[in-house]
Amino acid sequence: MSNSIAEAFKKLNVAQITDVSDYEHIYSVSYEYLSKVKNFHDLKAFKNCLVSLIFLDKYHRAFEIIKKVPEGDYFSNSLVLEVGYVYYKLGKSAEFEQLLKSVKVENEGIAIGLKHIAAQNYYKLGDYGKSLQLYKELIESNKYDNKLDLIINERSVISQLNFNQKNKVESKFNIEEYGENYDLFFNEALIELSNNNFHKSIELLEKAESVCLTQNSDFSKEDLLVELLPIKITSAYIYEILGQSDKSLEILHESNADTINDAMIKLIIKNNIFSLAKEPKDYNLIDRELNYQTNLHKLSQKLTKFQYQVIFKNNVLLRYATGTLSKSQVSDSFIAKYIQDFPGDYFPLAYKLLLSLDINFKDLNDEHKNRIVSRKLYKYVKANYNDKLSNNLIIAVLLLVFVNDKAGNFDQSLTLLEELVDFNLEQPIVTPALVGTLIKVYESLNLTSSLSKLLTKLVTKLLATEEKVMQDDVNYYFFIRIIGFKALNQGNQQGGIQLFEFLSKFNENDSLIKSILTNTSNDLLPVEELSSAKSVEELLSTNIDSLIPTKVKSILKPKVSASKVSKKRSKPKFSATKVLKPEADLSLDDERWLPMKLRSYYKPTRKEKKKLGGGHQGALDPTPAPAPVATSGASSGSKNKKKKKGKK
Amino acid sequence: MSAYLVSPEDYRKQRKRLNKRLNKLRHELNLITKDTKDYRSKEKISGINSTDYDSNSKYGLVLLLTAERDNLYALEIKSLLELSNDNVASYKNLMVSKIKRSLQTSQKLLQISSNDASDLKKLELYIYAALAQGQLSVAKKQWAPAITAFSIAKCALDFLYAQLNSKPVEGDQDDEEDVDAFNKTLVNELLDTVVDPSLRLAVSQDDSAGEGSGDLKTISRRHCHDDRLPYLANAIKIIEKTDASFVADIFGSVELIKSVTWRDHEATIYNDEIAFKIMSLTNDEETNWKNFTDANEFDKVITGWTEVLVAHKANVEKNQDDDDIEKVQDRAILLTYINYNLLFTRLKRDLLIIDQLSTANNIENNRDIFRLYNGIISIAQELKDLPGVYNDEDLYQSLENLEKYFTAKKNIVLAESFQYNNRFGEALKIYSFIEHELNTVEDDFYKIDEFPYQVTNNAEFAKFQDNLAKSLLQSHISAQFAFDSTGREKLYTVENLNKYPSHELKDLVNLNSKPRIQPILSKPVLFDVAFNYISYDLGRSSGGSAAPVSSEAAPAAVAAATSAEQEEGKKRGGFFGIFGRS
Repeated sequence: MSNSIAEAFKKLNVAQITDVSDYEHIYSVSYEYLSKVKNFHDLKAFKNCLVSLIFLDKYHRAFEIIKKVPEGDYFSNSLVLEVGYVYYKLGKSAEFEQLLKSVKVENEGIAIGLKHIAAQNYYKLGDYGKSLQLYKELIESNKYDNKLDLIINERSVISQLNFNQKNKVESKFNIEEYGENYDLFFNEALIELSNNNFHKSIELLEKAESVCLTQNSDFSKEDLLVELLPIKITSAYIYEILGQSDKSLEILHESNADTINDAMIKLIIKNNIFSLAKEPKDYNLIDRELNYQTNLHKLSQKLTKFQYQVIFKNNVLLRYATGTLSKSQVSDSFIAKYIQDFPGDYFPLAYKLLLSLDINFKDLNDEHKNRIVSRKLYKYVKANYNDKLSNNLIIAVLLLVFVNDKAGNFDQSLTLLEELVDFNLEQPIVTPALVGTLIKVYESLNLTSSLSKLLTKLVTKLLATEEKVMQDDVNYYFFIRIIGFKALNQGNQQGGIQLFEFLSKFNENDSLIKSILTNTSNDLLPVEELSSAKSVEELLSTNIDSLIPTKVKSILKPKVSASKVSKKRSKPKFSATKVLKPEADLSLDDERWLPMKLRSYYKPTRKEKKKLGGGHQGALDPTPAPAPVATSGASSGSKNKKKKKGKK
Repeated sequence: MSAYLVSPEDYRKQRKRLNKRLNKLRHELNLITKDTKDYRSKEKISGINSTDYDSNSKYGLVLLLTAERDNLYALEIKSLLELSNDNVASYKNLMVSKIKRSLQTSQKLLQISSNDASDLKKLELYIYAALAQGQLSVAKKQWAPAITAFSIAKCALDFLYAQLNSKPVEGDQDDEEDVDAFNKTLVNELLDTVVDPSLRLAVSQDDSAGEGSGDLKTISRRHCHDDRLPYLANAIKIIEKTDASFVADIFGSVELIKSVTWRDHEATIYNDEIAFKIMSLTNDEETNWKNFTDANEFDKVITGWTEVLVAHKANVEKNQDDDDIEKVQDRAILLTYINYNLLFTRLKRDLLIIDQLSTANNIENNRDIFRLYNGIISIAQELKDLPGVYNDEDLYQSLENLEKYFTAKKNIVLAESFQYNNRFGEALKIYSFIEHELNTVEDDFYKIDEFPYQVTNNAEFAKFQDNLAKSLLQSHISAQFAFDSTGREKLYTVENLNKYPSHELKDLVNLNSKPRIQPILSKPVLFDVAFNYISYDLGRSSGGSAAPVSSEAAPAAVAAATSAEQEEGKKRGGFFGIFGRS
């Protein structure tokens, strides 16, 4: 049996391949031979297996075979290329690095192939610096490859590199020399986009689109779409940045990706349409439609670093908004890794804090619960106030500012923020986001004197920044530039200029600083691009009152009693809202000064009547009646008599 | 006095009434002479002297009423004469004698009241006498004394009116106010019905006066000093004591300008008062506007011009039916001249206020500054609408540019406010719009040499343009700066603590009531070139020899690559899906 397998293996003709089934055939025969006859010790069979599987896109199967083959067998020879490719495709970069380290390749072709794999691997990992370095080497020592492809790849890396840092990296190769190639235009457009040259980018995209349409006129509809859609999506993206969301939305709606088989493009179109929606739909619905979780998993090998970041952010946001974000999704270990990948991006920390403080999305945006939310944050800040350098604290304070901003009252957060910034200013490096937030709070409260004090402090602090920091951190450079501008605008002319001169030491090509220091506008973008898209008439008819701040009155919060027992308050007898009788009804009794019994309307009770005139009703007993009369008469008579007597 | 008495019967009734009162009064003062035989030697009225008056002012009243009775009689006859022509001569004689009688009595009254403490009261008596004198003179056709008498009366009445006006209102006594109001009406009535017409008549009849032109006020001020009626001179002294301006012959003492010139048009001024006021407004003394720094000081100038305008309008109205085309023309020019100056004064005042506000350097002032500029622009429009401006090409264009200039300034205030709100794109748009608007202007922005009150000039405009260029640059830089720092994507503050937050506080974290789903960007095209290196070919992998791919496989591959490989790479991208683009 083993013989027949060997026979079949020998009969294999790898040079004549007509369709996919040939690969499958080669694979099955070679694998039989390799596993059953040679017990995984045959290079040629091994190679046949790998190559077939690669062509068939079955990398996991290939990986299983690789694991069965002893290492020494392929490390020492040229199979390293195929193995490396499988590792790269599966995203097993650790294994790939191991492979790279342990092999010594003498064959030039293999070395170059390996270099390609390495460059692509670095690109995938987001290590664009290394990738670019490799591509540069590849272009210089190019022998076998189409140079245009290499240049396109180089530009691809450069565009990603530029998105991350703002030191403009430029390719040595001019696009004009390579004719009309829409891939080249497309990558160049992305580079322009990364340098914020939106208008130029749009131009290039338009060019790319027209070239693509003319060159590929013989393509089937689906193939053409696959080529065209990325260009369209990108221009829609740029229009969105430029604030022309209608145009952007129109392009996206036109782009119908139903017919093509590319999950990535489909996801992007859907996602960006949601992103543009003015009135977002129900977040549950969006979550279901976009299904990030599955997509992240499915596309994990295809996404660039930044695409991954955005999708991840959107995912966490939707989870939080729909109340389905679990703590494990923003665990400490995950955050640590995330921050390592994306330095400075502490957004998962914010979510973690909100989760642990039991603040949900609804509460956060409910103005009635604003006070509860801010108190929770405030308590947290106070409890963790000792470690002023911890990012948890900084994020918590920023969240507090965010919540306070909704209420329009910064009483709670302003002092905390000021103290934190003061402390921060003593550190070797300032945290720009923190300082910036304080500046924004000052600006929104119109506290100009505090602002200029802070700026003066900042100017002296920043002028002493170490060179190393400046060279390593581009953002810090821009931070200083912004502070310089603020100082200039606040009337601290000297401080601003000092900062700009300081900065010009590190970057001589900064067109902005150049124009400030020389007072020319030659290096800037043209006025038309920078000015607002609104019409002049509209601008000139703006009501000036809307632009001028009215003095902010600090709103006094009602005092909240500390005790939780609420006392029952009796209603005040005389309240402001007491309803008074109308004047007319207030007629007073004229006889009110008379004794009750003398009033005209007095009706004696039966008892009193008895006393007075007595007897039951209808009783006509004459005897008692005269008696009192008589007595009274007698008494009066006697009195009279006495008086008379007296008179006498 | 004769205010509501019209027919002779009215006068007669009033006279009877007066007589009754007089009779009572005389009884009271024991001035009755029952024995009427040889009455003249026995009557007591002419025996009243100043000691009597000092002891009881009712003695004066007796005389006053006596004079009034005669006056009423004269007026009765006068109105009678207007109705019928019977016995004209004898009635006239009677009238004159009655007036004369009235005058004599009032002269006597003046004599005995000379010790009275109240100047105003004395002045009233003088007015009465002057009126009587005037009437007599007119009746006798003695124009010169008539002029003098009425001049004195007019000065005194003007003075009285001013006194009544300036009188502080004490408490809230309505009676007193009513009395004052009544007195004011009385004074006006006298001026309108008696003094002014009579004076005008006298002036027009008197050739020696040689006025011809000028208003009554001027004439009265000049002629009140004539020495023709020495017994009335005291009235002038009384007035001078309090306020000499009412009798000062101002126009006589200074050389009045005879005409004004406005944009090559010369207009003769027919009214000395207006001429004088214009002179004092345009002279170079220390009250001149050039010494003013405070905007409030300009209010005086504005009031001055407004007065001139009112006076001129009244003057024009009076002379409505003037047939002299030249005069009409002159008045029209003068009207424009006054309006022109008045508007510019207001403009200058507003400018000064703006200056004061903008030195305070408070953004909240921008609101007021903006409003003031709006006012200034409407003033500029009013200036353009003045009669005669439209035909004057240079002036019209200059004013149009003036409007443009101030509109630009207004818009700059708006742009500054935008900038204050960090809306640099908007500010830049406005700045560039302003620059565009003003750039079309020719060499000389203002064709005329200068505006009144130096509101602005070509030099200032040049400076403004310089500043505009600077502001534009600044705005440009700011916009670029804002643009740069906004960046490609909307980043929430917590999403990068190492970055200065580029957005508002509400974007600290993406958790507003409607959190935004962030858009995803497509990824660049990356060809899976490494895939090309994978093949079944063992020749390459058999190792050892130098570069198998290059020697054997590569040429074919590279040759194909120029066209085919690219396609292949892409197809892979689409089919196998991992790289390639999307």
